[in-house]
Amino acid sequence: MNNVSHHNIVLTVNGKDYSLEVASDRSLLDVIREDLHLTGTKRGCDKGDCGGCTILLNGRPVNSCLLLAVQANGQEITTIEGVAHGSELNPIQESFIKHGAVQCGFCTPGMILMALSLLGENPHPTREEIQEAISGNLCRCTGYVQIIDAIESLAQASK
Amino acid sequence: MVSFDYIKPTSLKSLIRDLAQVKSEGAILAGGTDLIVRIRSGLTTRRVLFDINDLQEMNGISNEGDCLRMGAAVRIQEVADSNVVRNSAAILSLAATQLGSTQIRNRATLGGNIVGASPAADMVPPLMTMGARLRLQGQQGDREVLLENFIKGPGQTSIRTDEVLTDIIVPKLNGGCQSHFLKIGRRKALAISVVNMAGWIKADQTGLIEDVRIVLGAVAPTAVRAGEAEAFLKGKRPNRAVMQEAARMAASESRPISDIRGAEQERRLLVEVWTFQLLQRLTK
Repeated sequence: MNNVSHHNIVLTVNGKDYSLEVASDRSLLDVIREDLHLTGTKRGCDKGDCGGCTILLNGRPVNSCLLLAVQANGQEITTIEGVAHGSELNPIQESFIKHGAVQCGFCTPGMILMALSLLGENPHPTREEIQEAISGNLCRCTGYVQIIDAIESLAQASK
Repeated sequence: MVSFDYIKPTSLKSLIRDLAQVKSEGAILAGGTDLIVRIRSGLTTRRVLFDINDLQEMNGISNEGDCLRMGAAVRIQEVADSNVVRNSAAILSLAATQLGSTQIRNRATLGGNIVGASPAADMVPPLMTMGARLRLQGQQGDREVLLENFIKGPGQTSIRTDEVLTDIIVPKLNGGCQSHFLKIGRRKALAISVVNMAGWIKADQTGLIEDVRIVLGAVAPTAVRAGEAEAFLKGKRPNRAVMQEAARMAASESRPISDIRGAEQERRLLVEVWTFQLLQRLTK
């Protein structure tokens, strides 16, 4: 039996408005990837345990797999695609590359958004604060050190 | 097959009316950090979800003199960030900062943690320690219950199918109480507690324990007061031997199970070790 209803919503993603019709049971992650074709946001676990689906909702990091698309109606969403300025990388992205913080790249979008969120609130985080900030994001490749180094170098750079 | 309807009630009144109609086929969608996972895995099936996130009656943290009032839809991150909470209910702040992850805390709600009634819920022991009360509203009107009496078992509470949790009222601790919360998990973040606990001690000027509360989580079907340990501690001077004995009692009062996060024996040992640590912290 199909309980699903359909809703017309507007999502503002990376500054652009998208009008969509979505089913009541679709996750925001699904809609971002499949309807908007913004595949930088990853499906790692689909249950809030890995942070691969991290987006910024009205500036705050959340797991998009746990949000229904309808709940994001009228809200502002930032995905990894919104971090660079066209072809000009954000300093966080440059730092990740410089420090070898990207291996397979699967955790990277979530990590970068967490770094963006952290540095926006706390421009000079300690190494411990950085570790805490990314503790909701799993990485299977790097062992985290290069990621923390990359973020820490920005923390010091702006002093 | 995962399939559900979504309604965003514009008022508490219409929510209660709708809940009364659909009964157990409906669910409250707050943070969704547990409900969505349960629905996707097939653990829970519901015909319709009611989104309460923007209901004004369920939001806000307010200082009401001798108690704090928090809306059921208040985010865990709001609790963690709140100066009011940090000043009057520090153990709630401590628990909130350790729950889940940043991303989870930005969505998960206080009400969800309570009504979800996981035996390992992190907000429950500190709330119980402080004697928190819950305000439930339903078709038959409002009622207030002690949190201690509300949770009946894993995932089970005395909430009725037409009711919604709207407020959590937390009596402030007396000045002169030391309180603490700790959480033990397999990781420092994104961890379901293997053992968690909250407590407070009120001691007189000589250091004699006048009153004490210890609540243990994740080691019984619900969070439990270590009543025997509490009774033992009252009126005593908290030296090492006394604290060790109280910790042993707390461990034997717990009823942990063996699951993927830990064996029964391990959990009992953790209760003993960490109750001792808790008591040391409360009597510094």
